[in-house]
Amino acid sequence: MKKNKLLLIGWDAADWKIIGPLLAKGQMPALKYIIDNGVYGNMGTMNPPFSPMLWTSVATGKTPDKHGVLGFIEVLENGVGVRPVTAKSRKARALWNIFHHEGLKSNLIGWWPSFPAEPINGVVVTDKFQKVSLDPKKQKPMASGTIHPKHMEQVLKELRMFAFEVTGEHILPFIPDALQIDQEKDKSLTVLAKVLSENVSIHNAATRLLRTTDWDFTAVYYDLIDHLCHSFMKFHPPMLNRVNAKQYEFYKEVVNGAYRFQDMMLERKLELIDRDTTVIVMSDHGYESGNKRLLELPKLQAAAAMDHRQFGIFAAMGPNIKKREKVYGLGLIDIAPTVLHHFGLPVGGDMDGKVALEVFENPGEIKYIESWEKIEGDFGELPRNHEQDLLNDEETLEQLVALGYIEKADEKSENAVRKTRCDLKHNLARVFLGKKDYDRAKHILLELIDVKAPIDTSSYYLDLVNVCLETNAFDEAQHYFDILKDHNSSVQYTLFFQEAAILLGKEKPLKALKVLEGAQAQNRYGNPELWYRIGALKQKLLMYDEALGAYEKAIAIEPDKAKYHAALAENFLELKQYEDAAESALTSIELVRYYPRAHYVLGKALEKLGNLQHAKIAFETAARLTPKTFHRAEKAVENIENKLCGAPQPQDKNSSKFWKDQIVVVSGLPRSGTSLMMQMLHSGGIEALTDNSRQADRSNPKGYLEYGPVMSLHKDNSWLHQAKHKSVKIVAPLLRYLDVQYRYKIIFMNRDLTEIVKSQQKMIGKDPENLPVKLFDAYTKQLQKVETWKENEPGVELIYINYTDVLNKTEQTIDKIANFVGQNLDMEAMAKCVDKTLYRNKA
Amino acid sequence: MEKPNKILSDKINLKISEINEEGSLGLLAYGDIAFVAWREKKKQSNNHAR
Repeated sequence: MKKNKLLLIGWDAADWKIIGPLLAKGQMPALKYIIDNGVYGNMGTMNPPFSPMLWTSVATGKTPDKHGVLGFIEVLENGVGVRPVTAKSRKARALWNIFHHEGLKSNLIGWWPSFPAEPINGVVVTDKFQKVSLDPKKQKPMASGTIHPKHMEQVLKELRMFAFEVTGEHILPFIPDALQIDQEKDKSLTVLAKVLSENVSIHNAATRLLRTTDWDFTAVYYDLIDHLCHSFMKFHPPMLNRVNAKQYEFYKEVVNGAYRFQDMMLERKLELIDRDTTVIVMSDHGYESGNKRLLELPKLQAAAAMDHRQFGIFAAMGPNIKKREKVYGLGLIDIAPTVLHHFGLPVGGDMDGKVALEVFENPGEIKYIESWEKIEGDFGELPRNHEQDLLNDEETLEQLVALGYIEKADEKSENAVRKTRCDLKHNLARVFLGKKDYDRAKHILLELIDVKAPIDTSSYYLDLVNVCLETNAFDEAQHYFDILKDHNSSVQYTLFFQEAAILLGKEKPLKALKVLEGAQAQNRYGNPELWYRIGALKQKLLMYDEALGAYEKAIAIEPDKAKYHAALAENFLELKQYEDAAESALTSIELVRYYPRAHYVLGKALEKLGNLQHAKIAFETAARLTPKTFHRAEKAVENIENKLCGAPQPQDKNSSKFWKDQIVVVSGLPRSGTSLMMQMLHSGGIEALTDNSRQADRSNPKGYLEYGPVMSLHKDNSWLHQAKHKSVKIVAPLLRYLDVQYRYKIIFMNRDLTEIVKSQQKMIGKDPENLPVKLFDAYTKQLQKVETWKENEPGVELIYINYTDVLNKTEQTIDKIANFVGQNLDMEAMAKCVDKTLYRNKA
Repeated sequence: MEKPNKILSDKINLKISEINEEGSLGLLAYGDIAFVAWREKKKQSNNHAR
């Protein structure tokens, strides 16, 4: 008997939201047994959530741009037609190929896609096996390549169930009143019979192989839940308003029935394995079962996937698996590396997933190799197609037609090929979007928008707008948005999120708010995402009470969205309700454990509550969870360490600590004495970062000491490293564009607002006695924003210096500044810069 | 391995002699053995009917 075996069971679209109540009622005892004796948790999916792409990522540990399966269909090798996606599209080695090379035996049953069968050490029953005609008289012989090895064909094909074999006994547990359904008008029973029989075929093959073969790894894939959800989720309780009541009564138990039957099949498999076998049950994504369920799908490629939810399920038990623990942060991309590690095999350095060490009782040391793709030898693979990328092969196709090697495809199939190529490229672009590789995503989308009719390019424009928004290219986003808006598309897109994001990017938050509120007013059922965005905007506009109301509405509709609770926590912080902030942050973490934003806001709340030790842990967790450096969290940890060391904490948010590579910023409103402060610092020994682009003039006879690139800081802040150890002048509205990776000591010049406005009026040749009220209000708000901003930036320390104090209490003020920047300054030289005769615009 | 509780234990505890033509979900969940026996039963029943 083999030891250390692993059984991987895939339940497409299984979702804890449905499973939870069934577990509570004792209606999924087999899964409960695994949970009670092992680990469980959410399984993060990837974008786009299309099953063949996802299950191939499960099998390879790689994202679709690397493994090559990019959708539900593929273009034929000769380029003249399309077909359901096959294993031929896969260009990365799967687990079973690696096991073949390592002398392990695998059984693979129903994996999507696995046809044509690869010649591995073990048995492959491909995803073509269970697909049979509904008509008993139209059965075709089993296609070559359906099963490996060939000698298993005869015995396994007898295990296929046909839809016409399904009886009332099989149907009634799902649909108790099935006999009352008018089958002439309603074909739902046929759908159920088809899906049920196909899954029974897979299960029969799986039980046969589990019982009769010697194996190390068995993987079985079922589409029962996914397929029945696509047809029947709209009838799942609670009843949606728009659903026909009679149909609801007929079909309301089908989805639950799918889960219960899946569990029954799991129970049988558990009977067929021994105590030393590790079992994993997982899904590739969840399935929407709440108010957001779609009753009608738009005419988009793979529109059915719009109902897919971000989290699927994961449960595992086995000799080396922890007991009764919830695990967090798993992604389906982690399965292949984790399974390799289970077998003591090295993980490919080119795999995108990681080993989920937290599931193991004794995790052991992970071994790595550069790439499994580079290992020579027999991997039980199909001959690889080394021809050029079929997605970009139109020229070759035309040439082959011209040369007479292939016939010119008819108009219809030619369009199908073009459409498929576009869909696959679009999916690839979406994969890059998901990986935040915006350059590559944009490159593909720009190619796609040039595609000619009849292909509808709207969805490409939509993603192009999204890419531009992600890269802060708001004008460009506006350009593509305008084209999209005028586009003649069969699909009605909801564009208010994009429209609002563009307006916000262009610093028009009130207009953005109007767009979102207008959309919400038209939404009869309440859109939680809209409420969330409205809340975020109101928070940005310092309307914290109203933001609170919006977030609460979002949570009332969708209570299990971690980002809503995190946003609520941030808003509570602004309202100085620190306990509420901590509680909301904890709720967010409970929903998604690996959520850096929630840990960060928890740290801030705890810091405010004086719980520094736990605040530090929260910040450290936040910093650890992000793949990139979480500069704010790192700086927050440093600040707490500073506090715990007993460093003095004056009233302003500042310390006298000199930070390595700190940048001294002089800020304030225009005409508040910033140039004078720059001169003082420069003379005192902190070199000014300046290009002398603005020469001294009558308004500022001693010079401005400005630096040209500051003016476009909001577009490009990559030059800031040049300001390390120096001082730089940055006007107040631009402060929020500072790069958070650096430490800043900000000397903010305060001057009576009336004096400032008078001075500005005079500078631009206007009557200084005529005070523009609007400008006055805008400056007041600006100062308020700076106050909020500095509180939220752990890398920022800020001291307010009164312009009049510089003039009248010069020595005292210089002393204060030197203490703040934490370095020795030439105070005498600084004092010499102060020329009281220049103080001309008194209030 | 300790077995989980059965939700349809009467059906899943398969007795080939008690399989009837209509089958059941429990029978289908049992997998290949039950399925083959069920088909055989149907076949015999059809032959008998003729």
